[in-house]
Amino acid sequence: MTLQVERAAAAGRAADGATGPAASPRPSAARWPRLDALAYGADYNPEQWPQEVWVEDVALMREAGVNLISLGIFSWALLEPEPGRFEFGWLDRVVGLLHEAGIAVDLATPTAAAPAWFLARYPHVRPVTREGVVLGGSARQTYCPHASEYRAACRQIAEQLAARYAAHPAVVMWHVHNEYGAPTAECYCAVSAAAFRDWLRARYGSLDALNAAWTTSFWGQQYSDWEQIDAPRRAPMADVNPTHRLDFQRFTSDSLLELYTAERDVIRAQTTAAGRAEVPITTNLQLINCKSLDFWAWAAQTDLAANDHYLSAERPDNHIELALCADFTRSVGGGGPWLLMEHSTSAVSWQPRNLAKRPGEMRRNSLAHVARGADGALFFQWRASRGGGEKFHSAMVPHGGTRSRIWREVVSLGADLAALRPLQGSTTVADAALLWDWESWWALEHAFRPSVDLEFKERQLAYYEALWRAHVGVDFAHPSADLSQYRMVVVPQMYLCREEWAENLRRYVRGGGTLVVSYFSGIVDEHDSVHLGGYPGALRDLLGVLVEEFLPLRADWTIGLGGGETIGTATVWAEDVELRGAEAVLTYADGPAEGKPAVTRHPYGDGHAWYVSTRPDAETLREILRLAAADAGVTFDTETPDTLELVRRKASDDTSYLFAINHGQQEAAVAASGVDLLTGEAFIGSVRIPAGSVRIVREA
Amino acid sequence: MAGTGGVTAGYGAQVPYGAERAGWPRLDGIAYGGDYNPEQWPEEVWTEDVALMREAGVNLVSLGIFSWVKLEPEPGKFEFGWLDRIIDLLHEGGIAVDLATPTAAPPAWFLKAHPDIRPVTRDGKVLGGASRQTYCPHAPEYIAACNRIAEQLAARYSDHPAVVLWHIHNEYGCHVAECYCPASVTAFQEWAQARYRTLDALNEAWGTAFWGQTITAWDEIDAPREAPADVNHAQRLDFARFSSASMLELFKAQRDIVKAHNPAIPVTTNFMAVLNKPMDLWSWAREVDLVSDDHYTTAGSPVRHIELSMAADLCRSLAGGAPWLLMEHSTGAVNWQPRNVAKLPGEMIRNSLAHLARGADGIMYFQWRASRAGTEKYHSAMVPHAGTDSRIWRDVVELGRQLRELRPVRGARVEADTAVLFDWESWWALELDSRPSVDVRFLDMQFAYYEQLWRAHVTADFAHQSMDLSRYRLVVVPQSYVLRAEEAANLRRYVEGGGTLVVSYFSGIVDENDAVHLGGYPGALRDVLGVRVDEFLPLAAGQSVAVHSAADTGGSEAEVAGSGTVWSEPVELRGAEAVLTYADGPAAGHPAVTRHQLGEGQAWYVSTRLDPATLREILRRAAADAGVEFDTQTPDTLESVRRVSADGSVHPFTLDHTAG
Repeated sequence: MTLQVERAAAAGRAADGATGPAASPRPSAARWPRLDALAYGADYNPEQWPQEVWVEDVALMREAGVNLISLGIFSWALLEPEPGRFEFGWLDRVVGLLHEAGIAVDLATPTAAAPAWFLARYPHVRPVTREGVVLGGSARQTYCPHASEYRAACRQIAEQLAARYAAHPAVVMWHVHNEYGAPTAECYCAVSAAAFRDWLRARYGSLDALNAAWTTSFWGQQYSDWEQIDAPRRAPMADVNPTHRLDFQRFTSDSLLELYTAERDVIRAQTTAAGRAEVPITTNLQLINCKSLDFWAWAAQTDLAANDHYLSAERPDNHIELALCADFTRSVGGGGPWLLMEHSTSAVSWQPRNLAKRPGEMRRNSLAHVARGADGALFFQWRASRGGGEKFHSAMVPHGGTRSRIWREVVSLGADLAALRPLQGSTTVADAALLWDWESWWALEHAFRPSVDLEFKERQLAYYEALWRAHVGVDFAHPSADLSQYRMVVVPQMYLCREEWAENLRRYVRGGGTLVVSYFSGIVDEHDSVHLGGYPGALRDLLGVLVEEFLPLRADWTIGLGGGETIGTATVWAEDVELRGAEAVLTYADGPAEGKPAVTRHPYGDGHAWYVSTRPDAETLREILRLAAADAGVTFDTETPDTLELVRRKASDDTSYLFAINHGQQEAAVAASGVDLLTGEAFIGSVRIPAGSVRIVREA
Repeated sequence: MAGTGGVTAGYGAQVPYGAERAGWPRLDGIAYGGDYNPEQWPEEVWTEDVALMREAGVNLVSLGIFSWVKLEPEPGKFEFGWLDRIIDLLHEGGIAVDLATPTAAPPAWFLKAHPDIRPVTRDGKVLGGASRQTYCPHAPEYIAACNRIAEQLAARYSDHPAVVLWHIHNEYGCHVAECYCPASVTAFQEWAQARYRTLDALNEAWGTAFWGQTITAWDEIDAPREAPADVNHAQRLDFARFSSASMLELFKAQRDIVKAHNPAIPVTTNFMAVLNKPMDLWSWAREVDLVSDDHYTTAGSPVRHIELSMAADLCRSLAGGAPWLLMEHSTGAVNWQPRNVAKLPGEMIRNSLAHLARGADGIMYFQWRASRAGTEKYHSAMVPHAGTDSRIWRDVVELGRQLRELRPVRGARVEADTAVLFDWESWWALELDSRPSVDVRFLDMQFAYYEQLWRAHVTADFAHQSMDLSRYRLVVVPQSYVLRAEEAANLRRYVEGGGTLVVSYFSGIVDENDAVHLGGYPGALRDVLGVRVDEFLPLAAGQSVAVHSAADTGGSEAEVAGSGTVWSEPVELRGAEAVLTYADGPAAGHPAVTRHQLGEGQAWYVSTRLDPATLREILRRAAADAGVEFDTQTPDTLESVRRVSADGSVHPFTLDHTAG
């Protein structure tokens, strides 16, 4: 199978050990939907409404300044009401109506929601969970990614749509499927198990290689025939062979990517034939909430990075998590403009308590995405559904109609985005990077590990938040990427570390970089096999430390950090760190590692490698990062309030746009001069930002 | 097939001094070593392993526990070359071998060829492989394959001078104890038929008149799989007996095979004493030549050293007082708890010596060398990932040295004049659904009483309610929900003969069919305890009731003002005297703790879950009745136990747990 080779190469982690950019500017980076302003719009599901509403919809879209609509995402049953019979009349009418009004179309393939007749006809395409439960329909994403009937039907409907609409002037972008990877990713049916065996044959070539990689000598699990290998379904123990599971996770990500590329290729053939090969094709990712797909590999296969982002409504300061997702989307898109494909005007429908956004919050959210490189802000969805599983999800047109706060804010945001047209194509530049690798996420969170409190996203968010509060702009990068453009690289969690990645980090530090590594990183190789000789095996020499034993903490345990006096606290994790060239920066004041170094700094080549062997409290972590940033020469601004978000976009002609988003309750000010694109106000020396408001200043 | 009816009669007689030698591996010191899985490492590591074992003083390793596929790479083709080499290498190094049968981990080829042997859970899930313990204990193909590999190993190695012990399977009952597949259902039907002979007897025993569950043909009997509402309790209890007996049959079949080759080599299997709810270890203990146990502490628990003592005392008791073998414990953290807190410096040695103090004549680990991959890679080992320049390795070497010095302790006994009753059938039946309170839990009660005895430096044995208890001055019954009439008579005989008995609530409630002893609770023990209870009064979660000294005790004892949780009862006196009374709550004014003079002895009854200090005070008074020393002066951070050799020499152990 060629796919996994592509995947490895795309993410710069080819088997030959060569490292390269994680997400290099793709050859097709020039592909952007033909629009003359920042994109503004939503998912549009006209099939849920009578046709007389469509006319009103288009009029309201014009009022709001909408210029791009995603269409047909769940329309399979309407487009193909029975096997092989296609009905496009209604879609022709909607596309025509939108086109007449000057609204462009992002046309979707509807393959995330197979029709009921399809499931009735092919019941074995229903996915099977790890526990053996067969999942039913009347929902969406009811499919086995390996079922040949499903694959064929997807290609067929994509082919039909592309053949009919590739040349239509309204169609400026293609939206393949919807949110691959959640809620359906893995499937444990017999067909999937067989596909897994094919994938393994391609990966390992021989059973000897597989047995070695999987360490099947443990618990006597050696395979003597490919047919003996099953999907890693639920077993008597809480978990099966962890390498087996890790490969199944890789296989699943690859399989879904294969679904995407198959549809994409069908569409590309038609757009090329229609003389419109420049029309971009993408799919909407779910950074950072889709664990099952390695989006580094996915991004390389899309013409532009598009993301769906929803706030965790109950999370304090959830605008920081938003910023992380935006930075991440920009990073998987190679740094260029990207598209916010979905977010919400207010509450969603699927969290435990769907807190509504408060006045001004939607605007701050949308413009924060733009600040971090989005050249468009779209919503789910245009008009709030009257029935169905998402009827309580907010929309641009709420149940209350246009006499509503939300609608007024929607119209106002449309005007804001129109005023931001000069920003098109400008980029956000960062001199710090956080490393993020899906394989570490997968491998770390298997059942048997030193502590259940070892969580991948938790550390990523903690380090990101500390940098955000200090106004440090960051990119995300893959551990194999060329990091030389960054002054500081932070590794919140990189459990799985290939030797070539360790070498990449050594090269980075030797060349003058500053590296900060958190605990339980560099522990295993690509087969989830421990780097022996003392932890963190792959990074021991670079960090200048040696750890002989992990000392995880009880759930309720808080220990002190300091030297002579306790200056901070820590939870979850400790280690008996020994210095092997590094110097101690902070020491464990008590707990199981009392007296041992807790945080260390190692001069290495022309750079420095920091190691943080515990989970410090937020303030202590920020102080550690401040010291590391000083090594790196990165501005670490703890003077400006951490309720004021400051980001710059730079145009190719060096024009600088300062975004100042005030998340606080007080007016704030920042030293800058220029004109606010949103209000036309001019500032000299200091820009005042009212509480809850946003300034976007073209700097003089 | 599976073992038959009449279950508990004749449990565990005491093993006289000296008798253990027949069942003890031929070693000239205290056993020291670990599970050894050389197949996970290249052969050049083996040589280093043996050298390091010698450095640490290792004299016994358990070999081949998960090696089935390596020994039988395809059906009927056996490859012993690698095992020959490692056994010879160990033998040359003077290290003896505890050779395992590898049947806990059937090969992938076996599961592929016989997919029907995959176990089925109570809720109908078919469990897969790529793990271990993937087998149905009733599958004829599995049983035949186990017996064949055991035969092959025994034929080849029974006369090898290095092989001094057989380790059958691994942790029977762990992960898979029950199976609900069709073959298991058939086996259960056969077991029920052998036990009851007639359907009338079965219907009577199972109380099938309830909810119209009458069975009219043997093949109508199903495994008690998940159902819309609770399944017949007696049927579930029998299924638990059947499952324990089935596993024991698997063991006995392999034991008899290896014994036939060389009866001089003792045979064991590693229990998980306090954690192994599905296996009735009293019935298992009489089938092994020596009791061996796997024990893991609850990481970070402040009472983990007391839990350890309880497990060790239970193992000694299962062994009838004879020396037993700690087959597995850990040098540091394990990998399967939520937060695997590492052992503190010194803790591993204290743990090891505590086991030794309570009768272990061998200290072994899982495992020799920490795995590089696999689900257990974060389980500590004698040789950690970091290698020998590590605290753990230095402690391992130091312990080896200490064990050599302690050689004279071998064979010495721990003598206890107190016993705690422990009954698996009560554990099984008590924890079925639909009972008066979810807060009445078997191990919780066992530990609550054990802990207070431990803190007062009372050394206790465990015993079964059917055993002759006359050698004990004090017998404590934390939880014996199931009590047969003859077992109740046994307790009565014990008290009448001068013993002191302490019984906690919800004991003596049902017979062997989980049918209530009628006429007022606790039916089987009413007369022994001299009380009668006409209603249970369980408490709300978090609810606490006050108890205080009964008015009529005459002031001879200190005033008690304590509390009870979980449970209360409107106890009526029928010959007993009140010791403590409920001050409030649903049983306000009724006796809470009573004492009954019966024959030459006393029977105490505790009808609530007392707070620790009050429970300790009650036990102190009962111990005074019994003439058992109850030492509340010595700090309860000090563990003191004695072993006594046949020649009368005394080996006192004192362990200071203040270090952590």
